[in-house]
Amino acid sequence: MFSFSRLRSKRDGQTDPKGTISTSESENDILIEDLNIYYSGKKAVDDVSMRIKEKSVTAFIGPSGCGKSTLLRNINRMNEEIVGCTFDGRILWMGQNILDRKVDPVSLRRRIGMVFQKPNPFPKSIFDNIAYGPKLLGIRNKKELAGIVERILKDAALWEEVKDRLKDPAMGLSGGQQQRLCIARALAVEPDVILMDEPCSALDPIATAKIEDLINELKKEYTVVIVTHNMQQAARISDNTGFMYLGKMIEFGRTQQIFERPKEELTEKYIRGRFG
Amino acid sequence: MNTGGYLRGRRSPLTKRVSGLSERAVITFLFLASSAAVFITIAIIYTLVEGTFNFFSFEEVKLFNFLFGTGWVPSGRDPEFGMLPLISGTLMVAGGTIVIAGPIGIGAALFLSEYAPFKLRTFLKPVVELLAGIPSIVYGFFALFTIGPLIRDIFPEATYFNVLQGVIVMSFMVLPIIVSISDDAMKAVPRYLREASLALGATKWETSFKVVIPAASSGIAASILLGIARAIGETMVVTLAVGSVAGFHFNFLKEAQPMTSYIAQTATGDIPPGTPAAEAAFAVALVLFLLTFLINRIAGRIVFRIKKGSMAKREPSFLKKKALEIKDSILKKDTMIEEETVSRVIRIDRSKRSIPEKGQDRRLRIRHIKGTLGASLSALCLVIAVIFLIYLLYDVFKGGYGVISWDFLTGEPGWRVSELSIMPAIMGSIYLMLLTLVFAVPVSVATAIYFNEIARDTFYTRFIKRMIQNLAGVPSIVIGLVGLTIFVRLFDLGTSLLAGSLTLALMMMPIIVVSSEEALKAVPQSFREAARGMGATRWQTVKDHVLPNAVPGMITGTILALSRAIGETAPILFIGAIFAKTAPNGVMDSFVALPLTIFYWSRQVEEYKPFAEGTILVLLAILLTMNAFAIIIRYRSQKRRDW
Ligand SMILES: Nc1ncnc2c1ncn2[C@@H]1O[C@H](COP(=O)(O)OP(=O)(O)OP(=O)(O)O)[C@@H](O)[C@H]1O
Ligand SMILES: [Mg+2]
Repeated sequence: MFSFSRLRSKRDGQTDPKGTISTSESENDILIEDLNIYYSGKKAVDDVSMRIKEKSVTAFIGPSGCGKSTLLRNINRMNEEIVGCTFDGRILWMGQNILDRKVDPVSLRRRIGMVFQKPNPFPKSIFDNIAYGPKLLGIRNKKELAGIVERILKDAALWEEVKDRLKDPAMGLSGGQQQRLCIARALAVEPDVILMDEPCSALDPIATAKIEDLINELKKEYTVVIVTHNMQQAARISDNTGFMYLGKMIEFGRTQQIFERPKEELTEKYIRGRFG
Repeated sequence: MNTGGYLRGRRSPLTKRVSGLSERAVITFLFLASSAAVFITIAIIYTLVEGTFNFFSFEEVKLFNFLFGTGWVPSGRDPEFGMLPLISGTLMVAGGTIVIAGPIGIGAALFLSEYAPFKLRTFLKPVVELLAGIPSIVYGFFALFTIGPLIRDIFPEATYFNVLQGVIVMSFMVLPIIVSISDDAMKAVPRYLREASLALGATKWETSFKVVIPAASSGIAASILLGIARAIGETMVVTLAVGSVAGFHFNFLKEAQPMTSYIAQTATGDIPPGTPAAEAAFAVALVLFLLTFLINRIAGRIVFRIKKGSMAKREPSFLKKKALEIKDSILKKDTMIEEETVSRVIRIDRSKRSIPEKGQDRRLRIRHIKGTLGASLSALCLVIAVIFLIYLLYDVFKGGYGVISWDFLTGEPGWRVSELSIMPAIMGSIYLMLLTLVFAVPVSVATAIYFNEIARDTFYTRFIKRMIQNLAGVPSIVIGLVGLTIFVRLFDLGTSLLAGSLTLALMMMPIIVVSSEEALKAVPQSFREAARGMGATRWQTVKDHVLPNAVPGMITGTILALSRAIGETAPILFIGAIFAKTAPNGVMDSFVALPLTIFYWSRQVEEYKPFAEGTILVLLAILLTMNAFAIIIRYRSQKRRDW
């Protein structure tokens, strides 16, 4: 069985090229090859190939129903949880085809975290929401857990707002706070990649700005893939953008290029808002 | 008809008034019917309070002793009425039942909700519900004659009647309640919570155990409470298998007498009416009634909240929200300032990792093994339930089919074992069922129509609806006492078929109301709107557009309710006869019924046992036929309907 933990332990021994945003190809990039995804045999994602650069923000845009979420959910194999959803093709990451049966989705999802469209904190306390993941990974010591919770909440810029009510139910937070809590919860298992499916669509502009700040911060250490309906948002926060239409990745490139000089007519139409 | 032109002008307002009048008459009738619940409730309270008064008017009875005394010796020279032994009996039965049925039920529900593929689920759910369709007298019989010997093999010190055998069987009896309500609660946990957990790298088992079960916990608690209420109110299993000698102890291998068992004893033993021992049944029943009422109310509220869907995302209460807001406003100022600097000052530094990578692979393997074990255990819970069901049916069949003969089914019985026949009991049960149908259905259907179609949501309607819910939870032996007090004695109907069927009708009414309401709710709202839009009155809408579409559902529900009625023993324990040579000739005749026959024969010498088993077979065959009919009707109406 392939092990991400062994891989990471090995790499931790080597010097980490910290801070340098790689432009060249790296094993930590997510390389999607000839990926098809079907719902009960009906194609939802059609032959997508692309390279998602590590430690950068990649955005998927496109009209509703074009397959953005479906594509995103395949990167951590969440689609396996949907009855009738099948896929073929490859996703290479860390020198592995992560769609391979030999890769355990449980260990994969710990490495590739996910934030959903609707904030979905557990009906538990703020503390327990963050501690959920670390507990699964064997951290039982109360003090250690408290340390992790504090550090993670600080990373997610939520600490100051919640430090006095860690034992309160997470449901009592505002929508924006809930979503940052969900991001924090995802960070707590120390992933390398964070997938976000329209994380701001349920939030007001102020809460959205905070999350965008956070994403900006995150990309220094994490690979972020984000689905968004909001083109301004994609333009603001992403380094690379992929435009999807009817299951196909129509165009993928540097965000600036996509928004300023799209090569495809469809992309042009879509970002000019002259669609359909 | 030939009407002159000048008449037409006068006639039409007249017809309008007539139809307006009859409409009002119908609605008045529906309203009156809907108040039946009030009368039943009054009858129950009257029965219990009056009987309790009578009991305490005996000078040897003291309230303090009744509540805190540890001796329950109702007859004899020095009667004692200390209720604690009955309470301990009930506690043991209910507690033991929950200890067994709780884990098995939750495990089975977890399997159904989280693991079973759709097809397996649609097959297994009805199988579990079959357990609820078996009459309690059959469970009692199985406890005494099949589980009992097994227990005495394992624990030689166990007595013939003992708590354990009752508890084991009762566990499977309440299992369907726990499974179906827990399963509903787990299914109501939103998908996004499961996804959140899985996306963090939790296994399916961890997700089920740490997210789904906690999120469904109030529903699970409600199912347990309803199970407890059922176990407390159950009569026949404890009367047959647990015993009728009260003792203040907590030994599961010994005989005990729960509250219901004492009440039943006053119906069957040779306790003369009018004595403190007989009147004590009413005081015990009052305690029983209050206890089950309380538990059912709490559980009912929780289930109601789940049905409304407010469980999924429980909002903090108003006060808590306000408190948080105030806290926010106090914190706000420095939070805002802090936040400006927050994103600049704090850098995410992943070199400070806290989760050790070493050992994670091993841990993951262990987590997967745990998951497989957990899933297998929850599947095992269902398997146990199914095995129990199959074994029970097999056991009864094996013992009973040998005695089934034409003479047994249709002959004229004598007192001797060689002359046993259940013809009078079959006829008695059938008559009882038909009369129950006549008494219960019109009132219940009218009540359902009134609440679902006519009444607005007022305090009064909510009050009555709640009353009907409460009636559904009244233990059947309490209904039996009501029948005895109101119909047999107050209305002076004697121990007649009429009194018996009226009593059963009391029992069935809330059930038929609920199933009829469901049938009415299944009719799309658009039917009503279309009819009302075309100018139909409220009653015309109901009569012409709603009822025709709801009738198949109502028939199905009614048949299912009647199939329950025919298996009920406790309500008619006070009224039915022990022996009859012929079928009843009129409504004022005395009667025997199948479940009563099973009850009496299982308390006779060993030779009667196969005949009791044969009777069980006949009863189960009738139930099965009725259920099959109900299913066919439902199936055909679903196939035919075009909405
Ligand atoms: N669980 C599912 N079962 C069947 N079909 C699905 C399922 N989820 C999505 N689809 C279909 O797959 C296609 C792609 O859906 P997807 O959710 O990936 O689109 P999207 O681009 O994320 O849309 P949106 O912007 O509305 O979120 C759509 O046609 C959708 O109807
Ligand atoms: Mg989507």
